[in-house]
Amino acid sequence: MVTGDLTDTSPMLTRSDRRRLTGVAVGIWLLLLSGVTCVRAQAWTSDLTLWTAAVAVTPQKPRPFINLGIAWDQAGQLPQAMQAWQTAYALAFQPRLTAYQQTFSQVASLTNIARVLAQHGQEPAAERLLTAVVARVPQFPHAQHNLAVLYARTGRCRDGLPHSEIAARLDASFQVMVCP
Amino acid sequence: MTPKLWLIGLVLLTLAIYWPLRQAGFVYEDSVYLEPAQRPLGWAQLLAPRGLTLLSFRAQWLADGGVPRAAHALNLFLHLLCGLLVYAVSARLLTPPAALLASALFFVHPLQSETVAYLAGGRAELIAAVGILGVVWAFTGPVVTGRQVIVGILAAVAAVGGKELGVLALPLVALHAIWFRAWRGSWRLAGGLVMGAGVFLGLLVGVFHARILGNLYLTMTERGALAYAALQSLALWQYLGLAIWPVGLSVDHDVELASRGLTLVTLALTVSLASAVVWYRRRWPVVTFGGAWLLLALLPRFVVRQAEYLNEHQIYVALIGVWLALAANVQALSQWLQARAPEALCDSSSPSA
Repeated sequence: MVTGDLTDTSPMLTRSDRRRLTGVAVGIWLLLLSGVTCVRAQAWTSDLTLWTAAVAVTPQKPRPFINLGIAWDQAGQLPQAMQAWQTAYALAFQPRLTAYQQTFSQVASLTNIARVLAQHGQEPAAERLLTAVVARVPQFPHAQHNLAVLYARTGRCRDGLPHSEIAARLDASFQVMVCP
Repeated sequence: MTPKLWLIGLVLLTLAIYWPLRQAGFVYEDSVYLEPAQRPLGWAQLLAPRGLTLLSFRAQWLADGGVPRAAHALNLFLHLLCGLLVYAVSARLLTPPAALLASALFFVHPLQSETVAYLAGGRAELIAAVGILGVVWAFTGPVVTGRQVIVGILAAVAAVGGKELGVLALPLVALHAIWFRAWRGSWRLAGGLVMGAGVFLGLLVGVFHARILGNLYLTMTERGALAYAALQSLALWQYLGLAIWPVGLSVDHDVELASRGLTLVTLALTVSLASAVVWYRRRWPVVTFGGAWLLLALLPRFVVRQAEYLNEHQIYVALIGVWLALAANVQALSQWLQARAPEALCDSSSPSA
């Protein structure tokens, strides 16, 4: 026999088999999706898990490293924080990034490094970094604010006042500091 | 098993999936967004778009002093409510198993997880989604009763109170009426649509003034209108890929590896999708309605140029269209497979008596 008879159904799946098979395939797909979602929910439990997961997915992007550094800093792990910001700074010069992404990543990394330096008794180094950042990108409010605070902490509050005013103008969450 | 039992199973599965969130704290920009909740809200804040979202944070702060677990629980509850509403809306367009599939995808898909887990970005989307789905459900039934009109109006308040995207509810109802020729001359539907159109236009003007004019955030993008739409198209097609194969999800949504040629190709694909949606609306009404839902929900993010690209929580409502279209495709595939089963072939080959 060259061609099969339509009534010869032995090798073919019946209608209920096909329905069941569709159901099983859809069920497996949904279970896989559920597993991935559970992993994502786990990642969203803290900043550290969130940005560690992000860095694992996109190790060439500077922004996740900047935020991972902040998470390490908040967890009290300064060496890991500094390493993350240094990585972010190194990645921030890739030509594939837009000019905005490059500039933002560079100044955000440097501002975070300067902040930590200032908090650990290395004010001169921190001041050099922040002065360079505000000279290059004066519209970055965090650098302006940190430089103002640094001036105040080193007894030069009036020198910091213009930076504090610029920071408050750029970002309403910053208050203009009051000098004694 | 009845659809009700399946839905209970899906709710329990979703609770299990999001079980890790019971340990979650405030992450990323949560604290920035929750900070205003520590102060009393003014009328201007309450009546502005997202007023209901602010109110939910404020009420939560007053109730428990800002405990993350309670805030995450409320987000999860809203997601579950949305999932049930997705079933209610889908069941009007699809067979019960396919409607269950659409709601299951909504409940468990990882692309929806950022909205559930991220309080700062997600709460507004969740409240708006409950409202939008409520409006669509209320005004797309075979008969629009007075009770449904009341539910629709309350849902519209929730939609806009959640987020400015809530204005989308009215175009979606109109889209449904056009797509499925559901117009039956109901004075309640007509009244609802006319009132809604007035409110829609008023809100649109309000949203334009409150959120767009003078918004410095919208001046930070480096791209022109076409380049921006092209870049958002690339993000859209990446998300559509993740809808099928969700590997590589990240909270960092910036698109960096975008050549001009690639983004323009994806823009052409998006325009083609829009054309196909209109062209094939009679042949595949549910699939194309899902596509139209997706594109309509994303339209503001293609036109209003923010410095950030499409992110997961911003596509929460838009994805409902994708799940509808996918479920309709699975339904069609299943019917096609069953029609090719031997019994079916025998049935068609032998004339009935």
